[in-house]
Amino acid sequence: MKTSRQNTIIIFLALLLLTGCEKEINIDLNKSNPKFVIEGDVSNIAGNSKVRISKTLDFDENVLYPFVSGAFVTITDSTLNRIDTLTEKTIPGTYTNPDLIGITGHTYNLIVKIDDQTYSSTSTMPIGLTLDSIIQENLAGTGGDLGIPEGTSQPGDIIQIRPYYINPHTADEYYQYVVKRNDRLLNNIIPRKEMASSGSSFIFPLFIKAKKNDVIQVDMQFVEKKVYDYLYGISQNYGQYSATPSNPEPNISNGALGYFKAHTSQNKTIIIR
Amino acid sequence: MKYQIIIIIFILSFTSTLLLAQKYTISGYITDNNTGEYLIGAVVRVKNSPDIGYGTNNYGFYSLSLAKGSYELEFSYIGHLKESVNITLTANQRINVTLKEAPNKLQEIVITSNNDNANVRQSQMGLQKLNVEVAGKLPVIFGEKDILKILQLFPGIKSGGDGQSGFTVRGGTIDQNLILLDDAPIYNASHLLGFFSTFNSDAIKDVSLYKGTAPAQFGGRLSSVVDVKMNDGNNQNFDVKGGIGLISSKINIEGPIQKGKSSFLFSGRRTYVDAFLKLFDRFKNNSLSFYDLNAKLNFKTSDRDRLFISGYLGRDALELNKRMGINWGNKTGTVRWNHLFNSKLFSNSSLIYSDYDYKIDIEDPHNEFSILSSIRDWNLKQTFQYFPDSKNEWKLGYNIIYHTITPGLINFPSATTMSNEEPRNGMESAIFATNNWQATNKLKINYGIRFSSFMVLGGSDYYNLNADKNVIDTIQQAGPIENYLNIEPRLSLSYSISESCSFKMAYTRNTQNLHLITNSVSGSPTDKWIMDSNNVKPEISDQVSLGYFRNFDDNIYEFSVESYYKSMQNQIDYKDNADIQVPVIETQLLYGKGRAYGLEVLLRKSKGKFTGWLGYSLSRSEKQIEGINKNHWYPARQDRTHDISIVGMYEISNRWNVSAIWVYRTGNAISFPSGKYMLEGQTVWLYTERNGYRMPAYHRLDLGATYKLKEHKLFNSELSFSLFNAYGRENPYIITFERSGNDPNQTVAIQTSLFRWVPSISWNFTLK
Repeated sequence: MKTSRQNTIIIFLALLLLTGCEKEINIDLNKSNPKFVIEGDVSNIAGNSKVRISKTLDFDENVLYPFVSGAFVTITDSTLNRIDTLTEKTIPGTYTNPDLIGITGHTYNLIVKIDDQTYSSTSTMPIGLTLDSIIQENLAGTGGDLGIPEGTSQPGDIIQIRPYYINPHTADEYYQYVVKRNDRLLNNIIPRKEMASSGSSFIFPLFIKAKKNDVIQVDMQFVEKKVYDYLYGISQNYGQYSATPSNPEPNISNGALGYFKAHTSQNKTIIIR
Repeated sequence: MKYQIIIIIFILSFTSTLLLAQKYTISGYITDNNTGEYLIGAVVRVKNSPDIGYGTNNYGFYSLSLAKGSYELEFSYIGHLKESVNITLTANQRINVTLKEAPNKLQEIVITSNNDNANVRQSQMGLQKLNVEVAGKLPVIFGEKDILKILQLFPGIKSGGDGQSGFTVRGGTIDQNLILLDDAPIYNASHLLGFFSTFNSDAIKDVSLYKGTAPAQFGGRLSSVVDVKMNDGNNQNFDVKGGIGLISSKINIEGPIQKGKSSFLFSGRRTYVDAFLKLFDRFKNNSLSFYDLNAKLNFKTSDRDRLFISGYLGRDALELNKRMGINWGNKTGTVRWNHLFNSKLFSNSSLIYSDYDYKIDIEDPHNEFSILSSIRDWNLKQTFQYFPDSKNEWKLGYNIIYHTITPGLINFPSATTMSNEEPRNGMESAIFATNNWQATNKLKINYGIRFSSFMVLGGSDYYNLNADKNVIDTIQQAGPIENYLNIEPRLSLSYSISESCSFKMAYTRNTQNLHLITNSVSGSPTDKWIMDSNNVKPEISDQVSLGYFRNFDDNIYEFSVESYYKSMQNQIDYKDNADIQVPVIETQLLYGKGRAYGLEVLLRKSKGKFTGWLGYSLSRSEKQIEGINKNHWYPARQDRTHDISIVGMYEISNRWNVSAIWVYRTGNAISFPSGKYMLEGQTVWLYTERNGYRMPAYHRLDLGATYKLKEHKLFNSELSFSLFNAYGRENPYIITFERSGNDPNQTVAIQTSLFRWVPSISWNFTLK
């Protein structure tokens, strides 16, 4: 008796707390003309610089994104006036050159030629901040995420991880977290910024779903503002309450989607307690 | 030049009325015999010339002037017995009338109009009046009757949907509705995520909603004015009533302080969901509740003076995991003084305070802070009502509001207050004049003008932005930053073809100086109110409307068709990929124009055992803003093509009443992805146009019944049953797009819906 009453009330509350009921629905979404998507990365870590080229799909197609082979790709370090050509090796659609290692403060020009079309972009690698450590601040027992309790999640689901810098920042800093859990990339584009005016005392933490003994690898990539703006635009398109979802302005010419980002990379790993 | 002519015409028409031949004036108050409540919109009719009918004002006062002679006057009000008085007019006379309630009120329920054919005869267009009693007869979610929800069943007034608090009127946004409770603006009229409104219907006397066509004494919003009047309190007898419902209970106590002269009213309502929550380990750290308190005092200090003091306090609190708390609420207070200078000049002075705030508290081991936002008004309003003769009724006055908006004050307990933005102040003032003129027996004209000004006061930071919307410098000055002046003409006329048929037309200009910045169609407690600034200009709308009104079968059936076209300037929308959390929100906003047009049809039966109505609106609302949707026109989020409401109530017996509501609405306009691509190893969406898609249509059937229980020697009571969403339609609340759980190679649309089949029961009583 007691249980059934409890359940009734819990169901009632679950409704009230807006978990509602969910189902898949069919929506007639328009077809779109395929466009090129260019992801250009210049990293300060050897072997991490690459350019990946793919194409867009209609919403209802399988997510096997067509890669674009046979493009001509160069990246120029305009500070040193040095040109590197990137070529397709083992992975189709991914163009690399092991000699290309980014240097902070340098400006890079990307040129991609596909058929007779040229796409270009410029990006400067910021100096960024030096990461000292990342610390786990466990929120065990709080149940659910920061928002509304999901009602099904187990205690300790959400782990709070906070980065600490060595040098206090004096300028506006833009960065992106790339997070791996047990060597698997987590599905999140997490752009962040620290404004100079905010001071260094308040560092916004990361919230990650993890359990005890999971290995969390955090890559903190400092990027320039226009790259941040693009990534931020993408991240705003997720979630239920995005104000005005739309395609953010890419920093690549000629109507291609994607970005060209010269970034510094700093990796830290922790094991969840 | 155009305006100068308007002003001259005004002065001429006003003075000309003063020069008319001397007549005698009959004036007085009309009150309810049983409660002493002033009856708003009660009708005085001169029997000898039945074409002339006069309504009482918001304080139950009437005044009319007639030539010397003998007359029979008839006084009437819905649900009350008519009263006739014979007079011989040789001097000015005061006639105060009390009307008795009709013995079987249930059979006499008239939903709106007080006069049988008032809908046809009045010059006012786009007006929806609501009698509070009808609220008790209709099914509502959780058994809580709600006047705002019932207004949303009339054409042109559209609900935001389940779990959404606001409503939109004629293609406007939710912030374009001015909601007044005893003249005090309510900035967030919803409780508990929009399932309830802040109006406890036990304490409410009268509700009028003007669909953008309000006369000149109202101003400050583009789309509508909802004028809610609280009961004054019974000055004859003590009266206690209340209700016990599934999730909340309420009580209403009123009575005389000095019989016939003064009275008090106290009304309270509270939910008890949080008490249940405490019982369970899983939820004991969460809470969700709201309460409302209404109070009013009313004194007749002399034959010519009346003083009203009323207040409202309501608050919602939501606590999650003892770590995050959100609470919000309204506080209002109104002091009003009615004074009768003479039988032709009535004055009302109001001093009004209104405060809306919301507070978010975050507490975790490393961060503890709170964010406080608020909007506070001090408001002085003076209206003179002048009845120069039997054909004119003037209202003249002014209104001054001092606004203070705190846009999000962040407070760290460990440190000193850190503020993103300091409170901003603004002074909104207006003077107005309006006349209700019976030009001929067939033609009624209501014309008026409102001069409004908004002064953006200095003392806090304002920002100059460049073309890319980046802050280039900060303006810090003590004096006013800007002063916006507007002239708002209003005109509404009706031509009676016969006793039961009329044509009406209206033109109205409205302006708006406060704007709600929201990322949803219908609002959330964390939406941001802003004022005009150096960047944000007053919104302006010009609305033209035309209507045809026809009653059939001795006014048993009412039929009307209204159409409107509204053009709007300085409309605000977010730029693409707006960041809604930046400190300077103006950097995320773009401005442009809007247009809204539509057709509204209403067929209603308001007498007999079966009553109800059928409402339909066909409408469109669009915006064009440079920088959005490639500068092309795009649908506003609240744009809905079709909106249908069918409402029926049937009195089976003296004990049983049943009712049903069916609604159908086109889904809101929304931006959905048209494709997808891969970025950083993940699927992201490709968008094409702003609001180019539609949510699925919304429809729902609600059923209700009330049963009058056997009279007890101490109290009368009734049970209300209702079933919300009777056929369990899964109406969309949110639609998201994600990788399919079953097949990771597929992307799917996921719809979240809220309530299906919500039954409820409540017990309402009145102590004898």
